[in-house]
Amino acid sequence: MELGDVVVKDTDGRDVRLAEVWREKPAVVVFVRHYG
Amino acid sequence: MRPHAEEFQQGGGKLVVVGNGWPAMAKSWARHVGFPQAVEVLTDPSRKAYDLAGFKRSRLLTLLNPRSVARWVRALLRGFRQGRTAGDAWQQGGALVVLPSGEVSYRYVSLGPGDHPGPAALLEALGKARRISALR
Repeated sequence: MELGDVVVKDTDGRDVRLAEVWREKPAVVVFVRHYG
Repeated sequence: MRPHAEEFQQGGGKLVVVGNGWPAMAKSWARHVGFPQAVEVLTDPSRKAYDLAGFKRSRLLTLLNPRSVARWVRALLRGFRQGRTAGDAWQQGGALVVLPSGEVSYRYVSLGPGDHPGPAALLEALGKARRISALR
């Protein structure tokens, strides 16, 4: 499985495939340790 | 990062923040931080993206990294108090710059709390990514 194939959630719980996130322009993707 | 959020859009890219709790946690946190609309906030409860990106999950890195302790003390001295943790406390983070092709042009693997690239490094990486994309 590639990173772009991973399905994550938006803040309303909707599925988002990561490849869609950077499909149109380069994306800086910051992965935080946790919330808080 | 928040004061610089719009610079990523002005730089021809976008800023996406991924956490690892449930969507409700992400929503509450995003509201608390006050990210502008331009920033996409997502969450990866399975932490599958963290694994594939090569980010680490470790109690040792979290607790025993001397740099972590030093940063924590500095943050406390500046008056920062961490709120209740929501998400996986042992998961480390990092940052990627990803081209539309899916190629990762920049990767920063965090080795502990407070170990992350600054906005200037990320904006520079974004500029390089734009140049690579333009050449293809």
